[in-house]
Amino acid sequence: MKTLTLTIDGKICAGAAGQTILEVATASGIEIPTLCHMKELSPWGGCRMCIVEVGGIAKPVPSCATPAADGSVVVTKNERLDRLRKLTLELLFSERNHICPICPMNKGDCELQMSGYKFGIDGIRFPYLYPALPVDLTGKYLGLDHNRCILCARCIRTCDEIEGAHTLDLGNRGVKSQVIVDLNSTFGASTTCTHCGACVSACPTGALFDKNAAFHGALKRCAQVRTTCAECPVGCGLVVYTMDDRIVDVFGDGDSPVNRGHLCVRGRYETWAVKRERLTEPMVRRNGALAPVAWDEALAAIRAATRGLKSGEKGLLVSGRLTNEAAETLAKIRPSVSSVGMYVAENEAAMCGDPGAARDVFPLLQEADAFVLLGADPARLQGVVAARIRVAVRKRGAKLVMLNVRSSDLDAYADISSRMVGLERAFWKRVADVLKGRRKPVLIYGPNAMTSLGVAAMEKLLKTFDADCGPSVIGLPATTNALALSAAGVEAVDDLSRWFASAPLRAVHVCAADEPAGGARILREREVAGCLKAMEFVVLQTAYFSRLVELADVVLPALAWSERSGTITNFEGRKLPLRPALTPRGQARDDADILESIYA
Amino acid sequence: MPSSLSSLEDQVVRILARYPKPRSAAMPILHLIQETQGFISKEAMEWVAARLDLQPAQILELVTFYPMFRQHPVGRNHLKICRTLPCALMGAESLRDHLLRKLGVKLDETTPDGRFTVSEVECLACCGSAPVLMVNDDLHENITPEKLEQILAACL
Repeated sequence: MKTLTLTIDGKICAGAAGQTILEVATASGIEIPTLCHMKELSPWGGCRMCIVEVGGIAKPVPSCATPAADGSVVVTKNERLDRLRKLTLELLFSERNHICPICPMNKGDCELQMSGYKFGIDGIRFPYLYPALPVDLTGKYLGLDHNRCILCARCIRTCDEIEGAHTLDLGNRGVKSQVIVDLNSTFGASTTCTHCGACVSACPTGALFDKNAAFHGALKRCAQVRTTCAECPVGCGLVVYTMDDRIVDVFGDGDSPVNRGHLCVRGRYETWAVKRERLTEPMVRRNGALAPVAWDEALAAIRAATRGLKSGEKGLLVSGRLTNEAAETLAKIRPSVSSVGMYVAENEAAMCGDPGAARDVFPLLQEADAFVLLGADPARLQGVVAARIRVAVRKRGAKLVMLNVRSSDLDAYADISSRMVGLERAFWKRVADVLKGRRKPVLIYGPNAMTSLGVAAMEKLLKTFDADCGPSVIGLPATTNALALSAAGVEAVDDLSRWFASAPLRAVHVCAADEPAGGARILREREVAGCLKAMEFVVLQTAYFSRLVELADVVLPALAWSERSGTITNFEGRKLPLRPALTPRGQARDDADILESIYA
Repeated sequence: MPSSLSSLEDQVVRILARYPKPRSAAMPILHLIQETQGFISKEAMEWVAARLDLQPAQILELVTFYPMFRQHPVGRNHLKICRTLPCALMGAESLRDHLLRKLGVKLDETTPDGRFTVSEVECLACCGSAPVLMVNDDLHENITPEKLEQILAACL
């Protein structure tokens, strides 16, 4: 690559052809004020805070949108630039109703406010316009207050370039310009919004905010813990903001090699903004009712009830959310519980055999020019993957073929979307036409590709790609750590009622860990409730209340995602850390510790 | 797809053929819809978005940015008075008030018989013969109250 040399503020700076002045300056440690710029997004040049003087050009130029030229002499700070930047800020402050004391981003979280302080704005020379603007509070997790918008379009560009949804845009013109949602819709009624919250992370002011975080504490004063999202096998990096041992907000970790700061609704909001009823004390059933007891008493009750049982009569059913460290504990306690099974998503057990070689999937997604999704629905389960696909389809013209068992929010972006049944020759011809000439196809398969229909479709598909350009095949499981746990010897159970029947079980211990629905999803499988009722003794280990509690003789409180530590392995084979952001609630204890104290 | 829009399909195909990217055809297709339907409805915007593989918000952006696109029907005779400075200096504002009083409507309202809608527009590029008025696509120059009477009388 061609290198460039610039003089910025008297300092010789090296850059590469194609870089902007701002990029070269930032890389050389020279700070230029910005407001509408985000390094993840394409240049916009809207706010004019980043103006610099370039030798030979009379007018200041926006450094974020001006390519660096070899040999140019750049000045980023002087009296004139300072004056112009102040003017820009004054105009911004005068345009809408920026009333800091009643804004959730007051006290340090607002880039506009901080820029005001930085440039010493102590008064505005222009009349305030005081426009009457609405607030949209219909969004499930986020709100949009037009009064605080500076029209930097960071939300719009993020929604377009990162989430790929393009729900937001700029409507009207001039002084009436306003961020719009779909066809003048609201967040609550939007048909394209995925509720990923990326727009809120991008907003430099309080125009977009998280409803559950507003006025719960300035992020700037919060403690930050970098951990990994445990909701799905993608393993996105999270930054958890806490204050007084409670979560204030959760954002994506920009340093994560997986998600690079982006999140889906599951990690960004469902982890903390949805009310889940926590279980905080061990409980033992006495005279038909569960009563809170001390740990020792609960453990004694378990020992007493299972003392007479052989190891083959005790079953342990674990969640696929357990950590790699818990898998080691499971291996250790194997002699005392011979029947250990892991419950996973529908049809997922067959995916769990071979974890495959570790590799970086995101660069493949970034470059792919065709996607075939077979029995996988990332729009519902792995939103960050869905975002990459939407961006590829909408921005780069990548093709998308979907073969699924039910409808998906990605259907609207697909060239072909079909259920897996009754596919005839004409259909495969259409698929082949769509994939023709594609050089970097990617085939993503999920649990529902493991059915007989899915396997047949997979065989057909593999013959459909251009012969010289086979697809990169990516397995996308649904359960957080199922692949690594099965590789560590924890057998994934395909059919729970058959698992109950396969051994002469008399007692079972369900270790649901911190599953959002408390592990109750196992009851969705036929006859599982009956199997549990038929047990002489049921232990439930879970972080959250669910219908399972009613079936348990002893209930043990487990740690939630925000309190756990250890590692999980994502679908790429990366070992990622879980770090506790909060202290354990009540008496809750680590899953592996609990298992060890019962069985070791 | 609304049937009235699907009847435009042939013309849309011809417009699309003129551009390297479908997105570029958005403006001429919106003009076509406004000409044939009288205005651009939400359904029409959704249809255009789907037809061009764009998101609905990208179409609303265009429709709200350009003042010549309208989202509501107008009367059979759309009276467009220039509001730019040269016309204003030549009495466009009093002419506008006269017109609104006479027809008993406010700006952008349509008379109950569906005959007239009065709107203000930016410069019509005839400053030398200000004030000017457009009735649908016909330009009328050097407007006086008397001339206005004749123009209105000629409108069906």
